[in-house]
Amino acid sequence: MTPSPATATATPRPPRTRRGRGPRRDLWGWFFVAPHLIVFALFVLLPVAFAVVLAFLDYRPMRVTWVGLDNFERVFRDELFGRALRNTTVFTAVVVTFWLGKALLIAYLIDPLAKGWQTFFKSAFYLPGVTSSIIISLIWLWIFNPSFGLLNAFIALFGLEPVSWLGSTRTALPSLMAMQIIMGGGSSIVLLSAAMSRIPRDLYEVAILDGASRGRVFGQVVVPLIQPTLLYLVVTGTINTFQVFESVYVMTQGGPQFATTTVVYRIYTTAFQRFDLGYASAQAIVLFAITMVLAAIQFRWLGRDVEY
Amino acid sequence: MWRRLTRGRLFDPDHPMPPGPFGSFLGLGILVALAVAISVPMYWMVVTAITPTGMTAKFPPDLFPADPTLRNLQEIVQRRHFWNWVANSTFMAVVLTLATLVLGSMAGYAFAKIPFKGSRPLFWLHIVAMMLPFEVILVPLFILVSRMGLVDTHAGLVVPLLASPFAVFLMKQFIQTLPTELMDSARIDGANEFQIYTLVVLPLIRAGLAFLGIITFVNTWNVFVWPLVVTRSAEMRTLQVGLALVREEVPLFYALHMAGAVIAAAPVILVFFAFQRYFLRGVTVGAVKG
Amino acid sequence: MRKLLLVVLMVLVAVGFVVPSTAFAQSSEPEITLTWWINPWRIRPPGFPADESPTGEEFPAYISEQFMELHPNVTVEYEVVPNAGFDEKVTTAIFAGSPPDVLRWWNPTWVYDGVLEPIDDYLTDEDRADFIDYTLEAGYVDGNHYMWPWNNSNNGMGSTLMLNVEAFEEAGIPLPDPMAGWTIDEFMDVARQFKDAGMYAITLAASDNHNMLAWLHRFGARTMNEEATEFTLNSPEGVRALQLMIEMINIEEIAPRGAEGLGVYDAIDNLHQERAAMGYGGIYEIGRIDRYVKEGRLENPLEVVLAPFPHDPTVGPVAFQTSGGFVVFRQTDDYKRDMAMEFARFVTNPENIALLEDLLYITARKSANAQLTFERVQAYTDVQRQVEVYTNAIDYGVAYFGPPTFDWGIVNDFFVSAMQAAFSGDMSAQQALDEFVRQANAAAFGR
Repeated sequence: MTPSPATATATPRPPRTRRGRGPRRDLWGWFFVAPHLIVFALFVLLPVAFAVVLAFLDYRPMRVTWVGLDNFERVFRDELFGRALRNTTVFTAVVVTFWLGKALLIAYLIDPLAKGWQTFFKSAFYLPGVTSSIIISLIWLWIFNPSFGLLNAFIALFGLEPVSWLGSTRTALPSLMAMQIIMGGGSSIVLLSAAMSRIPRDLYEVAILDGASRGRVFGQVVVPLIQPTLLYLVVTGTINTFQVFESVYVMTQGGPQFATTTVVYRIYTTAFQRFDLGYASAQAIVLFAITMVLAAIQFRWLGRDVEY
Repeated sequence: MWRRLTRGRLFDPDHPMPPGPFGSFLGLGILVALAVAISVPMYWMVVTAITPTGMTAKFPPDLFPADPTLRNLQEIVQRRHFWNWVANSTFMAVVLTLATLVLGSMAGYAFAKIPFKGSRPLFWLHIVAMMLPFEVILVPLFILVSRMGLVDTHAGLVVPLLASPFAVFLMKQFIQTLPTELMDSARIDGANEFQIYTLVVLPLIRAGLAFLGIITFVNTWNVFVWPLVVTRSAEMRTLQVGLALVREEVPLFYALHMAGAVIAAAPVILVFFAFQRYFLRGVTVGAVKG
Repeated sequence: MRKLLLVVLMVLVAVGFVVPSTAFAQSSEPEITLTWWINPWRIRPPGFPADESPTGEEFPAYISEQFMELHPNVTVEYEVVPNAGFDEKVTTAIFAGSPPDVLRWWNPTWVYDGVLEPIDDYLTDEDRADFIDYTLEAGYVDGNHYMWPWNNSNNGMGSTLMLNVEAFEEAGIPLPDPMAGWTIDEFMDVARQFKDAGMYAITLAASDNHNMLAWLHRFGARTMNEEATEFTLNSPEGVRALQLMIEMINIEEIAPRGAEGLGVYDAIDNLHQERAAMGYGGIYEIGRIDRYVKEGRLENPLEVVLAPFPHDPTVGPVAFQTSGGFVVFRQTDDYKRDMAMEFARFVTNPENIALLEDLLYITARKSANAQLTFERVQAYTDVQRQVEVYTNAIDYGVAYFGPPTFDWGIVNDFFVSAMQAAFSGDMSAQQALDEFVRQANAAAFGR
């Protein structure tokens, strides 16, 4: 019985034998996870736990005081934090949507090409990403320079007046967003392209025989079968973009007039310029809670188990 | 007629749904436009690196410098301790890439295909750990590492970054898409889990491993804050930290900054081209069908 | 046989005297290691070729070596920390309990956190007399001094203007008398003439806080009140000054538009590229011209002179006064504390402090300043004269960033934001300064 594309998950499987479950299985599971888990527990979980505890303290080099929920109260009263939250939300929503959409589009367009051309385009889109983000920020700082930057030189060709891209409250955040959308996504394209190329050809053929249009094929065949990859990209993309920091640090330092202040940038100034680690941790936990909710939603939406 | 012209040369002959002439035009047009947009900054980076000093603040900028020079690159390479920086960065990148591949794929296999007790909450712990920004973990992590006596050591550079929740997540997603039948039939044949892992799973996720390897290598190569904080001596610095010092010696001296950037990017590009075969081509899974 | 015994006895006695005394000498000079951190300062130590560019490593290496020669039991390790990431590195080290012994930086919060050693017991009477008063005060908190002064005033930003001599000549405008100074009206006159000649007079840049605060202080406004308990920049004098700055851009058009997106390097660049006839800075900035010319980044070696900021006749001249120096972090071992202090004094002693001349900085010691000649910039200006002008200007120095007990970093973002709002027209001068004061009071004093 040939499965139809929309129900590719419905291939009947032999019932699990008793050999598939049990304490022996559990042991193997823990064996495989153990090496990673030891390092993870020591160098990730432990500092994270410490950071969480910090949120309830006023932590100074010579003196530590318990302050309970005071830091969290401050977070909710902090208008600058609220501003940062709004900026970051807008930034993430726009950037993740467009950058992932762009990656999907490019992967889809690359898919039918011959191997050589595929390699060419994938390299072209991936290679810029190997440069450190600090350098990319410096390059774009030059591109956006109001006096001698490339962008203003370009628009001058059309007779337009030079714009202060990073200096104007209206264009600063959109400029950073545009930079992220254009430069990002190289590895996503590679990942999506690999996932797409793994789709069994017969599924396409069945859909074509059924008379499906290109759009339907995309929606019913391609997308469901790259779902695990999509989920990974959406979740990690959201988490990473929500933590945007380096471009702000290098290019705008949160300005102009706090238009580009992001949550992690606030946390950085709180922790390393004000030395207020407890408050910074509280801010981070609020950030974390929000990210958690978003991730949960995304998992529900894209996380249904899929197999061929 | 269009098919005959382009099939085999431009398009994959076996692809079930190649686009028609209009679609091809539009599609290629979009691809080229986007590729140019992303390449322009890189082009400028390379061009500036070989531009003689004094000409970099020209407006409008030259498309190609009148007399290109390698002096900027030379200056960087001749910096004292430059090769220490490269060695330290290489050490970090290689060790962390190998470790991440091994630890990540093992853990990812467990989460994906071995439904062991406690795997769900443990996996969620990983997702959760990704959500706290590094800035907040920096001080606790440093206090821990310094109590362990690892400040200014190679181990200190590497050890805190060994466990990557992203790697585990990625591996899990990859391995998840493999048909469970493969593993079940191997089990019926009497193989134990470790043999399944090495002989069945790993070969099938070669593309995924290559991908994870390359992005781990790139990320580790470019990391800045942790090596800055954990090292104390000039010999232990990594390339990114060293280049930051070079940039600050000569602010606004774009040619030298970009020369440093080109030198930093070069090894990674080499690694990419060495391994791109494995992960750009993709791997088809079709072992068990019908 | 008895003679042999006598000789042996004498040898033993001699040895007995020698050995304990060296052991005694050893125990009074333990082997210790001192660590110190500094951000990149491109000072050429003695013996370094004059036409090569230092990296920022040579100076700390030289100082460390010299100190080790004087104190063979001490190992001195230095680290040059880049400005990018400096905050993270220092903060992490302090919280982990492993800061360097000596650091070239100042932050009053460290005093409140109890991590700095007071230096008063180690300041000799000569030191107190030799250090310029306000340089010591820059590190004075709650009755103790915590910073060994090193450089006095910075590169001149906020203290003096730099005038392009050729531009003045070509426009037929006489240079102002730098010792007598010039009034704001006189300055605006000159500026308008430049505008007619097709050049900007000066650059205003929102994130250039030194120079923006300099302009804001013109009519007598002060950043904070005497007791440093609240911000007062939005006083009528402050608003009047900001209003003038806005007019300079929009109405008089003597400063370029887009000031909300400009920074100090744009102001420097405009002067270098002769888009503006005036810029900012002191001897250090003249040195920058020299450096850029040698590196090939500047084609036309400008001839410049210094002038004080224009003043209001009823208020008098106002300039920026500041100094930086070295702090010593808390020590548990007495000997190490003594040595760390000794080292900090060593870097700032008259001989070593004079090395700052290479960067064209004025030092914090009167004795060293008397010896400065600044030969390197003789080609660009009459140096001795400029040094006079500069030191004269900073005689009227005021702390733009509040008292040394205050961490300006808490409110800098708000300040820049207010400048950006005023220059872009988003807010009026009054609104912008009111907003700054409101936010700064809240952030700094919890009000």
